[in-house]
Amino acid sequence: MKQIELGERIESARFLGREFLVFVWWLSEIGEGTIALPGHGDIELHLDSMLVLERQAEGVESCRLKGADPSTGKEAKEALRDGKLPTRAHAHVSQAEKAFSFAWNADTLATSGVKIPALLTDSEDDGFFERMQLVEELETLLLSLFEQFLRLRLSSEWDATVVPAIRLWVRDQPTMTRADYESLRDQMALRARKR
Amino acid sequence: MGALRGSISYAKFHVRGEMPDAFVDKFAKSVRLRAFRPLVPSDEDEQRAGWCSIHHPFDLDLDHGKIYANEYMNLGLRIDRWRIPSAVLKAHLADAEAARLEQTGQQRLSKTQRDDVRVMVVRKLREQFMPAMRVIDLSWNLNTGVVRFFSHSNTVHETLIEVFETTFKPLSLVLDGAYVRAENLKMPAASLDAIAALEPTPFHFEPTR
Repeated sequence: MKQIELGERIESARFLGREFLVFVWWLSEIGEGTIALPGHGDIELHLDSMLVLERQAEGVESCRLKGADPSTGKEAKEALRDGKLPTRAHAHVSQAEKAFSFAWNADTLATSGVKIPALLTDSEDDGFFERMQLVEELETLLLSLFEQFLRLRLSSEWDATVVPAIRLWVRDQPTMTRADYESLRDQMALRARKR
Repeated sequence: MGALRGSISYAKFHVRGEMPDAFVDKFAKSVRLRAFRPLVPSDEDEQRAGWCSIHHPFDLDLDHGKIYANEYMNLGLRIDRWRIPSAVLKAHLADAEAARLEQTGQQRLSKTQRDDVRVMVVRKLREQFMPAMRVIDLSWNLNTGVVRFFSHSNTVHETLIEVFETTFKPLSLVLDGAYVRAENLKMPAASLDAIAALEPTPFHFEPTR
């Protein structure tokens, strides 16, 4: 593929990062903060302390929410109903004994201000390897979540089942349950294996 | 903030292209060739970028031990830039132009003369100022082809890409994002084409078909 075409593809798909954050937000809420990641077990994930939603109209309309848990507040859903999508969010992820928190940029999927579990070592060299190992562990969890989203996004189930469920959630109406979602995801994985 | 200590904020890049044979030695040599060279007042360059040790920005003697840590290549990207405060430059330029007018007996200086004065003044002032220095950590996992670069500035990213791609030619760097992740997940070509053709989902209304 030519470099220009690759560059265009990369840029044109950036909106998926915003949809991914909506998906993660919804998934976290229907699972009451717990998301099952096949191959990794359950993780706890919730958006906390900061959420920025934007809509591109004539200019950029932005809504920046801060506080203890802004994603659960009325304003956040109102912004979604207004057509705004999350561009940045602060998130907390934990698995087993390890807890991470970080700011998420939807367009680049970059994490910043990552807080990792306390290091076991004081030495700079060993500390580097431990830091990188923890950062890579977090990245692996987020990548697995992104893969789940992407496979769903490319399937017919996205438009048929998931998006209608997310729309209900956006309107604060009863939506899909965590069990229903996991059953859908497992059926998709089964069908993919059979192919 | 950085790879070794402090807050962890980084942009993730993916290395594209075939790694050469015996890359460990080749890369070490390439890094030494693109090690940072300090700016001197007589340089024309306003800014210069190059590699330094991740442990110390003044350490430009980059041997294997300073670059490699197991499967990682760790470097500092040092960017020095002359920053003369504009008010200082303006005042010195006014003085120098007045002196040149007096010396030549002219009423006005031509553009060429003004440019000459400016070059002279800038060079003189550079003797009195230190270049502003920025150092950004970079950690490249050579097994996975992931480069973590500890800055989110787009301008600095452009400098990184330029220096990296000159150093490790023909390898290139691609900033992480949804499409790049799909490629890295080894999705089939048909899925990648489908991703490129996707339209945004409206979550706030039911579109009429």
